[in-house]
This record gives sequence, C-alpha cells and structure tokens, in this order.
Amino acid sequence: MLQVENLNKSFGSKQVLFDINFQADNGKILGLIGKNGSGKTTLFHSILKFVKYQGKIIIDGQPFSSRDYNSVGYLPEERSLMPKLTVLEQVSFLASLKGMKKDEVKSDLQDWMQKLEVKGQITDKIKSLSKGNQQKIQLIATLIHQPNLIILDEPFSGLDPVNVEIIKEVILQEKKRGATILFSDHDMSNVEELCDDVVMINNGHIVLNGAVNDVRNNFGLTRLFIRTDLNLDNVKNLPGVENVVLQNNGIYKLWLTDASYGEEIFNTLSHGKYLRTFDQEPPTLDEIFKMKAGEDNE
Amino acid sequence: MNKTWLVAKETYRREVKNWSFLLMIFAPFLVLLISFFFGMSSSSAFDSNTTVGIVSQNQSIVWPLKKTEDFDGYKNKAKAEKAYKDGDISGYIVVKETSTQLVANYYGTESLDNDVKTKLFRVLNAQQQALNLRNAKLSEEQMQSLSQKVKFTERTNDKKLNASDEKNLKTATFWILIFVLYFLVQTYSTIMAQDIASEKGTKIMEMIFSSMPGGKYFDGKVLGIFLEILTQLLIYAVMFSGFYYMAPHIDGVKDKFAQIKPAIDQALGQIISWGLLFVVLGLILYIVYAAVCGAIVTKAEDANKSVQPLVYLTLLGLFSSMSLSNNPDSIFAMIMSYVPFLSSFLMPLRLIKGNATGLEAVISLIILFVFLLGSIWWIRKIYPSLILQTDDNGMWKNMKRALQGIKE
Ligand SMILES: Nc1ncnc2c1ncn2[C@@H]1O[C@H](COP(=O)(O)OP(=O)(O)O)[C@@H](O)[C@H]1O
Ligand SMILES: [Mg+2]
Repeated sequence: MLQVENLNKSFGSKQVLFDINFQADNGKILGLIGKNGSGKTTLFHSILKFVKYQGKIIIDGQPFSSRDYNSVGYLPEERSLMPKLTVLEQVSFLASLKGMKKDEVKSDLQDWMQKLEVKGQITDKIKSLSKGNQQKIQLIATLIHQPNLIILDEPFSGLDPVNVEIIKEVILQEKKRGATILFSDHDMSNVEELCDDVVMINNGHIVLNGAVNDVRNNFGLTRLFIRTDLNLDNVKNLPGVENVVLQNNGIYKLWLTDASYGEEIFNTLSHGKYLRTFDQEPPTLDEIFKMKAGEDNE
Repeated sequence: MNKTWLVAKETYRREVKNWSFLLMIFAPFLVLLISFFFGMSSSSAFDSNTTVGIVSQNQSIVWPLKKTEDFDGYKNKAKAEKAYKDGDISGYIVVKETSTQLVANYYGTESLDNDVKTKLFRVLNAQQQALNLRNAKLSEEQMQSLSQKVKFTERTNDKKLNASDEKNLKTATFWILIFVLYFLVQTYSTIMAQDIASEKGTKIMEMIFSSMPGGKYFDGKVLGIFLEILTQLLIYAVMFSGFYYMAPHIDGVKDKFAQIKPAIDQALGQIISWGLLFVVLGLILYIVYAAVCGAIVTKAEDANKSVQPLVYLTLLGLFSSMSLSNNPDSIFAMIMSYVPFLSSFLMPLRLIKGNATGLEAVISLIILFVFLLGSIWWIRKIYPSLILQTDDNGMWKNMKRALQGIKE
C-alpha cells in the first residue's frame, strides 16, 4: 500500500506539485492521468526518492527506505536498454540489483518472454531486437522480481494495439498477484478499462481522485445517446438539453443539465413509438478530465 | 551480494571484456611491432557497409581500428570517398597529423554510432598522448634525472650508494611516478567519463536508481574503473617481473641486465614513498571528478570535452613541477603543493628537493584527503540528480538543475 500525504515539490523557485494526497491499495490498479508537463513523472520520482520533496510518502506503513528497493518495480517513461548486452545479461544485471540469483533469472526470463510473446532468444543482443520487443524486455526487467509496488510511467506509449493488449493482460495478472500498481497515461481509454482508482492531475494539482466508477457516477447520467427521426433543431428543443451533436453513426449525443430530464425525454420520444437507441450514461473519464482541466486553467 | 560490488563487477566486466582495453594495454608494444613488421599492410576487405573508412598514414592508428572490424583503412581521401559513394562504407574519417595535434574529420550521411566513436576516441587519444609526450620537451635537468639511473647503472658493483646517487635515484623515481599519474589520468578520466555518459545516454539509469541509492551506484562505478586500472598495472607488473626473473637466464640480455639490476632494485625500493601516497590519492581524486564530468553531459561524445579541465590540471601539475624543479622554494611551488589536484605533483617534488619538511607533507596530505572525502560525500549526493538530467540544456544548466533537485 502506498500513501502520499501533502506532497509538495519545487525545482528552485518553480513549484511542480501542489499538496498531493492519495492512496493506492494492494491488489488494485491506480491510473494517474494528466497532460504532458503536469507532474506525473515528477510524482513518481518523488515516490522513488530520486528527488527530495516536502510531505510524506509511506509504503506499507513506513517511509521509503533501503528495504523497499527490492520490492519496487519501475518502468521509466523514456525507454531503452544497453544495446550491446544480451537479453540475459541485461535482465540478469538489473534483476541482481533487485536481489535475484542468476539461475532464478534465467528460467523466469524464459517464461516471461513466452508470456509476452517476445520474438528472440535470451542470448540475442538487445540491439538485434525490434523496438517493441525491447520495450517488452524492459517491462520484464521491471516485473521479474515480483515487486509489491509497481510503477509504470506511460507503459503503453509507442506500442501497437496487439502489444498493448498483451501488456494489459500482464498488468491484470500482477494485480491478481496482489501488487499495488500505479501507471500514468494521457490516454483515458486504458485507464477506464484497467483501473480501479484514478487520480487526475493538472498543472501539479489533483483535480479528481477516487474509484473509477464513483467518479463517473458522481457526475450523474448526463449524457444521452438517442436515434430519432427528429431534426437537430427539434432535438435541441427537448427539455433540459444543454447541447447536441449528431454523431457519424446517426446517433444524437445530448448533454443534459440534469440526469432527471432523461425520463421526460424518453416519454416524449417513445410515446407509442419504437425507439431503437436510448442510452443514458455518465460522462466518460475523458470528458470529466477535460472539464476539470478546463476549470483549473481559469 | 552487496549492490555496490555488483555494479563494480559489471562495470569492470564491460570495460575489460572490450577489445579496446587490450588495445590500450598492448598499444605501446604493438605500435613498435607493427611499424616494424607490417609497415605496408594493405587494406582488408570487410564489405558490410556498417564499417567506417579511416584515412591515415599512421599505421598505429589504422591497424588497431581495423582490428575492431568497425573500420576499414584507406590510403587516401579519394579512395575512401569512392568506397563511400559505392556504398562499401557508411562514411569515412580523415585523420590529419600535425606535429602537435591530431585532427579527425568525419564525412558521412549518418552520425557515428556511439560504440564506434568510443573505439575511435580511444585509439586517437592514445596516439595524441604519444604526441603530447614527444612535445613535452623535457628540460635538460629532467632528462638528466630520468636518465640518471642509466648512467648510474654503468658503475654497478659498488654495494653502497652515496648520498648524491640516492638523491638522483629518488628524483628519477619521482618523475616516473608523476608520469604514471599523468598517463593514468589522461587515459582513465576519459574512460570513466565516457562509461558514465554512455550509460546515462541509454536512460536505463532510472531503473537502476529504483534498485539502489545513487551514491552507492557511484561508488560501484569508481570502484569498477579502479579495478580496471589495477588490472592494467598488474599486467605490466607481471610482464615486468617476467622480464626481471627471466632476464638473468637469457644469453645476450643477461650481462646488460646484471649491470642495471641494482639500480632497478634501488628504484623499486624508492617507490614506497610519500610520492606514491600523493599519487594514489591524486589519481582517485581525478577519477572521481572525471565521473562527474561524464554525468554532466547528455551525449557520450561530449564526455571527451567535459574532462578537458581535468586534463589541463594534470598538465599544469606536470609542467609546473618541471619548470619549478630548479626552483622548488618559489612561492608558486609552495602554494601549489597544498592545493588538491596539484599537490600530488608539487609536494613530492619539494620533499625530494629537501624544501619541505615531513610535517608540511603531512599537512598537505591531510588537506588532500579531507578534500577527497568531502568531494566524494558531495558527489554521491548530487550524482543521481546529475544523471537524471537528460534534457539537452548544456552542462551548466544541468549542473544547476541537479543542485536544485537535491534541495528540499
Ligand atoms: N529537474 C527539473 N528541474 C526543473 N524543472 C523540472 C525538472 N524536472 C521536471 N521539471 C518540470 O516539472 C514539470 C513536470 O514535469 P513532469 O513531471 O515530467 O511531467 P509529466 O511527466 O506529467 O509530463 C515540467 O514543467 C518540467 O519542466
Ligand atoms: Mg512524464
């Protein structure tokens, strides 16, 4: 478990993180969302004690200490390995720094490479592997020692959709193992799909924090998707409608001022008629984030 | 196992397993052999276009580079250019040699691979050092003191050395130590800086710092490079002892050797001295700062540039001890003999010249030692933030940002 309390971080006179508070639990995945430059990497660097900070960061009840080095796994944002080493040499070296023995590494490495569908042998030079496979090897080096706290800085960037799925699968397995997992992203869809909890950060401030479902539901079912014969103007004039767009798929997307208007609209439209699409949803995380980020900028 | 030790081992393994390490050790001998036997070696035929052409008349540059299989030798620029246009090589380097400096120019479409660059720099640096030494034009007295031992050896059979002989011997031993320090700093400051800079370039450092404190990692790097230095010295020592014990049994060498043996024994006896202590501590100090130089830059190829201040300091030390050797009681000599980096050169000189007392030596040694410990303490602290600055903002901005990073 990881607790961050009243974390403030400045570089010289420039403050980058403001009063950050959140908690990440064992066996759960926490997504850290924020635009570039909002302070995600700096937050991770603080947790890992790469930089000094003000505030408290507590791992399993105690401040970060040397005992934690072997039980964290960290995948940095900028990825590359030492091109001249073989896969085995590279992973063994990193794993040995996490306290693993050579022979353990070798058999585990082979299993991991199979699991992640890495094309290549453990005796191949890193530079002979494709970019995607190199990224996977680096993820293996992050996870091979079965860390309790896993921190992944934008783990999906630069991967094709097939590999994104493979890595999501691995992250879910690590969750089952009981690890505390944090990852950052600027693409909401991965967070929405994988995470139990979400922390949204904008210009160094937390703008939203909580369980993914709660966060969405707290905003109410203010998004309405309908398919109807009415034209745009008529849809706009339905009760409680703030805004409307006609999507490419022929479905109108309505922003309601309050979720309760849904029922009224349903009654108006369905009145003895067949209604092929009527779907009332909370806003997506992405919408919520954009709203929140917008507010914060003003 | 202790993580510092793991890092030292890995650094050592990577450095020593490298072909350029052997090259560095045997280069002085190879250069002799090669210019003797293969004066006219023809260019070989590695045809993969990952090779780079090298144009130089100097076989001691071309041959070792060709050996790495990343380079192809060419007699002149025209030939290299043709090979480049034909796609036989990915580019070529023209090395020009003036009496004081090597100038290398690279022509190609893509910039050079870091690994290839490292090999190139090592060979060129070795050559430049040879040039530098040739240009160092020792003063008459220095030449004398260096050659004294040979003169002395010609009248060997007296068992007891008289006072002036002993002083000459001490002086000779001093110059040897000083030159060894100069060479080791020249060679290993670049190696240290390049090792760290190239590692920093791979950005794997964040993973490492999530496994151990940056200060401990720094210890490991310095230790690894020291093991490399010790390995080189050990290889030389083994070669020397081989010669020392074999020589009396080889006809033709035997008689000459018997003449110089007492001098060698005496000189060896002088090695364990104040001078040695100053040299060893000085070497550690230079290497530690070379690590900082490597950590400041963001590109491996800038490492060479960033260690220049250290190289100039050794030159200052070397040349001041040369020019002040007639005049060791000057105020300059006195001041410099207390300044870390320079005291390793000046204090032993003043001692030998009878110009400084043992107490002064101890004080200077304590200053050096405290400065060294203080430096290590400070560098261990800022090292991770230096390494994690990978934006290309120039050295000073990086240094500034690193210092900000360690503040609360
Ligand atoms: N060492 C540093 N010195 C000064 N400013 C820094 C340093 N590291 C990061 N910053 C600044 O902190 C802010 C947050 O950066 P970062 O944490 O990398 O954001 P993110 O990971 O969300 O893109 C940026 O404005 C960046 O310029
Ligand atoms: Mg980032």
